[in-house]
Amino acid sequence: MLTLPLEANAPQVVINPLLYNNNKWYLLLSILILAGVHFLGVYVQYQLPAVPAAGDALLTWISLGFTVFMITNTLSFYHPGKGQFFMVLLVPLVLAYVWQQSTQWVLLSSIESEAYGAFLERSAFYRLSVSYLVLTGTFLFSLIWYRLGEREDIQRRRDETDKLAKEAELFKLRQQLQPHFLFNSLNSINALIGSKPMQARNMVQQLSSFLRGTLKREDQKLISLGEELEYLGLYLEIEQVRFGNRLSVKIEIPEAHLSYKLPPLILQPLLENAIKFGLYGTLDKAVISLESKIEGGKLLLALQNPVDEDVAESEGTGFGLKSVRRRLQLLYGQTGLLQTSQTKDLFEVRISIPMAHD
Amino acid sequence: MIRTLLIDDEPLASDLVEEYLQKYPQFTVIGRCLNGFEGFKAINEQQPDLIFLDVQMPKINGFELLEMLESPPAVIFTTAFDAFALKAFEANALDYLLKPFSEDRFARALEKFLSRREKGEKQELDAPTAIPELRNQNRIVVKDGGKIRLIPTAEIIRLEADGDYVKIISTQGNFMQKRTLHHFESSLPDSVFARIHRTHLVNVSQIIRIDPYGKNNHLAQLRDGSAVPISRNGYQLLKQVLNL
Repeated sequence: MLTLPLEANAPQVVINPLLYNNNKWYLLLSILILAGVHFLGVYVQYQLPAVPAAGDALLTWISLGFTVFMITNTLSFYHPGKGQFFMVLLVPLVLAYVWQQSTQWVLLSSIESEAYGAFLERSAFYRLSVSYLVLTGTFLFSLIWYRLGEREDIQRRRDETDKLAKEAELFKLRQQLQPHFLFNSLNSINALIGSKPMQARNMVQQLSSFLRGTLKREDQKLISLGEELEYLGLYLEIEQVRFGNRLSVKIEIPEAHLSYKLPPLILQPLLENAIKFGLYGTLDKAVISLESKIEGGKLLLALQNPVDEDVAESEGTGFGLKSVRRRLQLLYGQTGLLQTSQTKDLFEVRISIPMAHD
Repeated sequence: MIRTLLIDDEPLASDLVEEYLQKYPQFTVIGRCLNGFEGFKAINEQQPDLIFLDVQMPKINGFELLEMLESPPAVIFTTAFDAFALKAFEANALDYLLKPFSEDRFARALEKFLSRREKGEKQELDAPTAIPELRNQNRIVVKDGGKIRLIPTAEIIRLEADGDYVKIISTQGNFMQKRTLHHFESSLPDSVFARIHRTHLVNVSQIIRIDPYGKNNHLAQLRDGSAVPISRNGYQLLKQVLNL
């Protein structure tokens, strides 16, 4: 019972139509009705003894019902290819012949009535034709049933993947747009329009450039540290307008390091995190520093921000750090590229970027 | 004269409110605060009639600040958080201004304030507990005399309901807060704190032993030497939290 939810997610095999809901009872019921008609026909019409007639009717229809069931069941595992349509005609014929011969043999060897034996041999052709029709019908019906079911299944899975992909994309977009940052910036611009229109105009330009840069970013393409810093500069200038001298960011990166490449969307979320925790973690000036180093062919970046010392283990994490760690791991196939440490009131993130092989 | 206080960590945001307010001479800005602590102090000292309060601010956010006040003034929230997140609070403040807001919208908020004031209504403030992004589960904010204190969750040993109050027993000392135990239960991380009894919420890492007590009950022995009764439901919950 516990595995049910799992099964619901797994790709489903289309179920045997005869096992659906009450279908197995309908099958049983029609077998009994057909056997009854068979019995009446033989007993009343041909005036043959009742006991062998009943045995004949039951054996005939139960075994035929069983064969029908086996065909639908087998076809749920094995689906003949497109070019094998002749199978639809041939296989039921073979099955019908085998079925007719074996039931006849069983009946003949168990019924000791000569009149009945003669009747069996006379009716052999009818039995063969009826069973051939029934089995071909079963075969065709099952094939159509399973093909439709499969198509439905494929469609369902496709819908599901589409939905997931869309959700992921939406999430990414929302991340990129950072509504909180955007609306607060717009509010600042609104304030500046009244008092310092020139500065407002300037900030509109910065905000547009920043947003354009955000939208342009491609996940896979590496960019140089210089480019990334330029982009971060726009972001920082806007934050500077918002928070004034409460925010101070020190970037100490030697010029020689500016040409080193790194994946996009690595440094910016980290800086954003640092600013957020820096600004909200302290009442004084929030000093954020970024430094770089080259060590063992790797670009090392260290970012520091003050944190709330009243919060014992303010892991300083949040979504930003987690997603950057995950991205680095996926991009480079190694763990430990992002490390954090915390002293009483200072939080540090260190990332190391392996050199690109190009 | 309506004494108005502006609390926002972005100076430009307060500039805007002040500029909008210039058209209404009956409102006087008596001060500006850049964070919740300053805000708390200023409200207690100057008793403003109306405050404009930002939500996201250093150390303690706007909601937490409001919770600390005994008789809070009328509050108009100003925030960039979207309406969805704020829906839960609709009943708790006079109005919400979503940044960036227009002068018309601002005027409507003031009208709302003035009409309420005329009728002499007082706004009802419940402790807000909804926005998960704003809830810092690593600490709680308590009032200690005239000061605000932040207690990291790791330093909280247990909480006990006592009439209209909740007694917080921590390594920093004991604090009585006029709150419900339910309030703390919903704001503290449920992987660490378990309501093991109707009147007790306990930091499970402080439990050193669980003894049987009476017929069906148990008693939790805590690291600080105290013992807390565990109800039958509490015992089931505790087993879940401890993965027993």
